[in-house]
Amino acid sequence: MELASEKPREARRLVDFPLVRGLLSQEGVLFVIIVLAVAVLASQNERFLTTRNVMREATLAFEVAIIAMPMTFIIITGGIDLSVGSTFGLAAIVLGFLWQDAGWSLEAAIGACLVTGLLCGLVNGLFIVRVGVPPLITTLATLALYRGMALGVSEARSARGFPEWFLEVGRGGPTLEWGTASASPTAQLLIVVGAALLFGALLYFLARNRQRALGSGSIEVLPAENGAGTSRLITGILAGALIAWAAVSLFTSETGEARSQLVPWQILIMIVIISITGIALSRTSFGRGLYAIGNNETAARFAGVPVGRYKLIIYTLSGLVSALAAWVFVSRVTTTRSDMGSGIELDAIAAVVLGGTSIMGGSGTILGTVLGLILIQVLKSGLLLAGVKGDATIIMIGVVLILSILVNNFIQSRLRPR
Amino acid sequence: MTATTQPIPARETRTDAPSRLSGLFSQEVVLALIIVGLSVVVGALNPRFLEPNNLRDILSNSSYIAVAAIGMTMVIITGNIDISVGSMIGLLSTVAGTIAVGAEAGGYPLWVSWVVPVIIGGLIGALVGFLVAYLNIPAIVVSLGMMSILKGGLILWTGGAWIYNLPVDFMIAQRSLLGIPTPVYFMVVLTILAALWMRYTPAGRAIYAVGGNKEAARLSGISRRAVLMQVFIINGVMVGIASVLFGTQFNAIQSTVPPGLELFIITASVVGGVSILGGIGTVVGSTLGAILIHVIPSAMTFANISAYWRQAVQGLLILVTVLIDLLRRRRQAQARRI
Repeated sequence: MELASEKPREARRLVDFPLVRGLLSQEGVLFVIIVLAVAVLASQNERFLTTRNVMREATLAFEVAIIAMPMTFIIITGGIDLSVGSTFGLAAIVLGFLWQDAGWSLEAAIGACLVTGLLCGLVNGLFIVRVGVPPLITTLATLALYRGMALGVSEARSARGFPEWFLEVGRGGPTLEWGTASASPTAQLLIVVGAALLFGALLYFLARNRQRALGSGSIEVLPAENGAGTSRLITGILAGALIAWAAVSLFTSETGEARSQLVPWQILIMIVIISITGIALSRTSFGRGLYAIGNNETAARFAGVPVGRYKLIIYTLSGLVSALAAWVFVSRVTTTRSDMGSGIELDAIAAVVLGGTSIMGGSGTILGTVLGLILIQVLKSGLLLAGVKGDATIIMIGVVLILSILVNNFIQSRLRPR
Repeated sequence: MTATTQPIPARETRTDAPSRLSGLFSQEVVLALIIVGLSVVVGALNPRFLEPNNLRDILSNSSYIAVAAIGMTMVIITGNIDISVGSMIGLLSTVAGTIAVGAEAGGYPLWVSWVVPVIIGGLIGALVGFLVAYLNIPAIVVSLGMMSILKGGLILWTGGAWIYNLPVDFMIAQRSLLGIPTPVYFMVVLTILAALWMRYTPAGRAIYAVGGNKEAARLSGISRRAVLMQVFIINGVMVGIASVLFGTQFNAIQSTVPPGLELFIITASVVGGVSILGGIGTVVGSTLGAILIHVIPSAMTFANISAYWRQAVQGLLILVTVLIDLLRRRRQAQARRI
């Protein structure tokens, strides 16, 4: 900043252009890194960018991904939820125990699993909101408590032998049979990239026109609104790429023969949850309220934001989503164990923070978290395909986490208006 | 809700007449009472609980947690946190073991294997401190990243192979002096030194100042960055010492990161009355906290409660002690207002 002010006034710096500015946001930087990483990995290994691999990776990321959504809400309010992994474990154990040992029907056990998650989250919320215990301590205590309850209930026994229909959620999905048009890989790639850019540009200009209609981009707005155009652009590119890629892989094939493609339920559930949380955060008064709480809780309360109720909602939601993840996970691995989901809280937090959500609260987007998740999964998958040992890939994630915050801090300090 | 928005004054109970009584029931006293009370009750149920052997085990096992919690307490008092300590202990105890195994062939004295992990701990602490203090990255993010790096590095390095045939002289945690295990000496001496340092020296008081009121600390000429560097280096050194105590307690080193160890250490600090918001807490409290979280499982075993419920009781315990602490402070704040 100081450096910039010494210079004589220029008409317009490069970074004053909205597109450049947006590309230099955390989302923009992440997006560029992801595109580069995917390009490199895809050129190194032909199996990387196949429909099958992409779907498999998305399925593997499911649990962390859906838990990271309410976690984004919570971190935006300046809180944290360390107990999600333990809630996950307890919900899984409740499901297995009630069905196998208590003789409940499996449907009732699934219901109880979700209710358990809801209650776990509610207890967190009540301690934080009504008693006033800081979120870090509350959820640290319930991390031990819920995991301990899972251990106590299960006594290290595991449930297995679930019926076939139960395994459907974790392993099945609608099967689509299409694919009669023929297209070469190059043509497929061109269609996807073209559609992505088109869609992105469309959303970007719509956003810019809206901003102009509101009267220039210089109004003081909440941090989320800064670079709204770019985040729209990236959302557009991502959505466009997704839709075009889905269409291309469904309707075309190299040979022109019909194929069937299983779309895992996980991907569909994930898309629904991401869409709902994304819209709730950016388009509703609830979402605005979360930013307000994170920026200044006292001010938010005076401004009439129902702080207590909103906090209660997000912590309860976090518990519920953890239980949902547990149910789908149990269905995928076909067994329950009391140590399930341990450490998942740190994976989710890493994705959220990598996505540019400030751990101090007040800023962050669902899009950022999604990009963070994609980058982590791309790195994991790519390094695994490159022959790096699975456990060693977490070094990379640690380095990327610290570096991305460093780079972002650096860029933001240069970008600040003179 | 109102109490959380009120700034909670630091311990100034001595000059404050209305709170003198509640000062008697500080978190340290409460913890000591709980530990003694629990021991008496369980001892009455099962006299074997109070046998010297068992008490020695409890104290010895809580030592490395207590030593690591000394550093953690300082870090939390400055308003930061370090969740990479579990991975650090895993890595540094493996370093200690590897050096010890090579001592005879390499022709260097065995004490090198105790000193090197402590130095490396200090260096890692300095790196974390630099990132937090000078590059302004939140400590939770730095330590989250550091945790991944150390954990991955350890697996990459050892491949998860255990270290056996450690020299007998390496095992300082298994030795005793005057019938008391050596780790207990480390715990007691380091706690007393740290407590005196934090209470009576300007550098020690600066830690509270930085955590309690940033602006006031700045105006009184305290360099926040220097204090943070110092605290993170001390934390690294303490974790280094804890790693040596941890690595020398058994005849083999597992070369893995003990799951949830960092949370165990943070728990000891929090149970000991350290406020996660910064500015409040003592190392005497965190050491008592570390002892308490080891007394409970042992007491449960002797009271014939299923070991499977151990962790649930521990979780409840954290909630209860934190609640007691919170209520006590609220009452103090009210007393001060009147």
